[in-house]
Amino acid sequence: MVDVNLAQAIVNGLMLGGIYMALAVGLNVIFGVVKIVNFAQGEFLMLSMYSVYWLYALIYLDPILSIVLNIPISIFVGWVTFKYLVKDVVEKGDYVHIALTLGVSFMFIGLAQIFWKPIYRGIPTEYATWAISLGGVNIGVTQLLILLYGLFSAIILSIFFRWTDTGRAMRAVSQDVMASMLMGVNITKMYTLAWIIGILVTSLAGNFLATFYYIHPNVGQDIFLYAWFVVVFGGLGSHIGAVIGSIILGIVQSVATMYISADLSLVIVFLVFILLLLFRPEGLLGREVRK
Amino acid sequence: MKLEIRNLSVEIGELTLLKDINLTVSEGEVVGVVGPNGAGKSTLLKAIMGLINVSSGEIMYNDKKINGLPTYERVELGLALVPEGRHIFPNLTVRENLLLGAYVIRKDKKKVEERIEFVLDLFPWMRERLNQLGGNLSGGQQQMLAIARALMSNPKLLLLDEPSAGLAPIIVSDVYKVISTLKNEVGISMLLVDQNVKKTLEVSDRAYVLERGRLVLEGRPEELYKEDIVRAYMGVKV
Repeated sequence: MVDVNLAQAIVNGLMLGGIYMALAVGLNVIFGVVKIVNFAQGEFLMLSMYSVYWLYALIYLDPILSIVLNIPISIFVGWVTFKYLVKDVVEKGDYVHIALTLGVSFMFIGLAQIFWKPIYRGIPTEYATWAISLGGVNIGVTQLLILLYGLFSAIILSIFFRWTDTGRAMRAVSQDVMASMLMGVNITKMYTLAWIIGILVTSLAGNFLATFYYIHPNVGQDIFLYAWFVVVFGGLGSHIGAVIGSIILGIVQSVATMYISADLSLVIVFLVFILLLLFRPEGLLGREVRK
Repeated sequence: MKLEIRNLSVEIGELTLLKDINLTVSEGEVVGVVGPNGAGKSTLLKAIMGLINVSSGEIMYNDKKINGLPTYERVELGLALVPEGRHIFPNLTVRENLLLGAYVIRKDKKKVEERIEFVLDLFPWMRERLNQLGGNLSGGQQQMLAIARALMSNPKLLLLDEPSAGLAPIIVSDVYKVISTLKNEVGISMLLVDQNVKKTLEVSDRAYVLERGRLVLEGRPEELYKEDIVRAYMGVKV
C-alpha cells in the first residue's frame, strides 16, 4: 500500500511543478529564439497578476474568465516592450541583455511598489478551496488547472515549433541567423513574435496563479529563480525538458519538505541540480550544440 | 532576369573592401568571379544579398534598385545565395532544411512539393535521408543540401560562394557537375565565386578577376590570359 503522505507530497510537488512549468515555458521560447535570458520574465507574471487582480477588484471579473482580456493586454505589453526596449539590443550580446532585462525587472518591481504598495493581496474565489479527493490524497482544483495549463502550453508550443512554417523558421533563426535571412525569413518579425509568445504564455499563467497565490510586487522574482533553474535543468530550449524539469523540481522540493525539512529542501534541490550539471552540462534533454 | 552592378563600393571604417565594381549578369548566363583570398569575392555576394551595407553605387535587379531592401525582400524577388561554409541548419532534418528554402513560397503547398521533387531528382541520394538531421551529413552532402535548399525558392539568379571550399577533389567534381546541370538543363542564371579558378572558368560564360577589391579583368574564359590571373593571385608580373 502506498503511503498516503508520500502520495500527497508527490501530488503537491506536481502542482508546484505546474507553477514553474508555466513560467519556464515562456522563458524557454524567448531564450530559444531571441537568445536572451529574460531576467524580467517573472515581472511580466507579476504585472499580469496585478492586471488580473484589478480586473477582479474593479469590475469583479473572475480570474479565469479574465483570460479573454488578458490575452490582448499581454500581446500588447509584449509588443511594446520588444519594440521599445529589446529590439535594439538583440544583437548586442549577453552583458547588454543581462543589464537591460535586470534593469527592466527592477523598474517593474519599483513601479509596482509605488503604485500598488508592497502588500500581499489575494483574490478570494469560491473554487480556491475545491479539491478532488483520490484515496485520501487531495488535489486542489486551482493547482491542477495551472499544471494543466503548463502542460498544455508546452504541448501547443512543441506542435507549433515542429509543424508550422513560422515555428520552423523560428527554429532556423535559433540555429543560424544569417542562413535564415537568406531563406527569406524576416528576422525582426520572428524575434518580435517569439518575445510576444514568451510573454503571453507567462502572463496567462498569472490568471491561474492568481486564483490561489498571493499577489505582491516580488512574486515574480521568487518564482523566476526556480523557473530559470528548471530551464537549465531540463535543457535550454527544450520544452519537454522544461516540463520534466518542473515536475522533478516540484516533487523533490515537496517530498524533501515533508520527510526531511523545509529548510533543507532547497539544499537538496540544488544538490540534484549540481549533480546533473556535473554529468550532463547541457541539461536533461538539451542537445549539444553542433557547429 | 538582369543583374547590373554600378560603381559599387563597400567600406568598413578605413577599410575598402570593394571599390567601383561594375558587373552584369544576364538571363541564363553563368558568370564567374575569381580572385585570391581577401579579394572581396564574398563581400560582393553579401552586398548583393543585403547582408552587408554598401557605401556607394547601385545594385540594379531587373532595372530596379535593390540596395536598401532587406535581405528577405531580395529573396522574394528571386535572388538566392548558397553561402560560404554551407550554413545548413544542423538541427533541422534534411526535409526541414528544404522547407526553409521554400519559405518565400510557403503558402503555395503544391509548388513546394513540386520543388522538393525537383531537387530530389537533382540529388537522388537525398530522398533516403530526408529525415536525417542536416548536421549528420558529410561535408559534400551538406554542400549539396545547401545548393538544393537555395533552389527550393525557384530563384531567378543563384549566387554561389565558394562551393568547392573544404571539399575533397572528387566531391568538388560532383558539385561542379550539379552546377553544369543547372546551367545546361535548367538554364538558371548564376553568379559563381570560387578560388578554384579552373573549375570556375570551365563552367562560366563570362568571368571577372577581382584583386584587392577591384575588378581588374573581364572576359570570356578563353580570353582571360593565364598570366593576368596569376598576377592577380600572386601580385607579381610573370
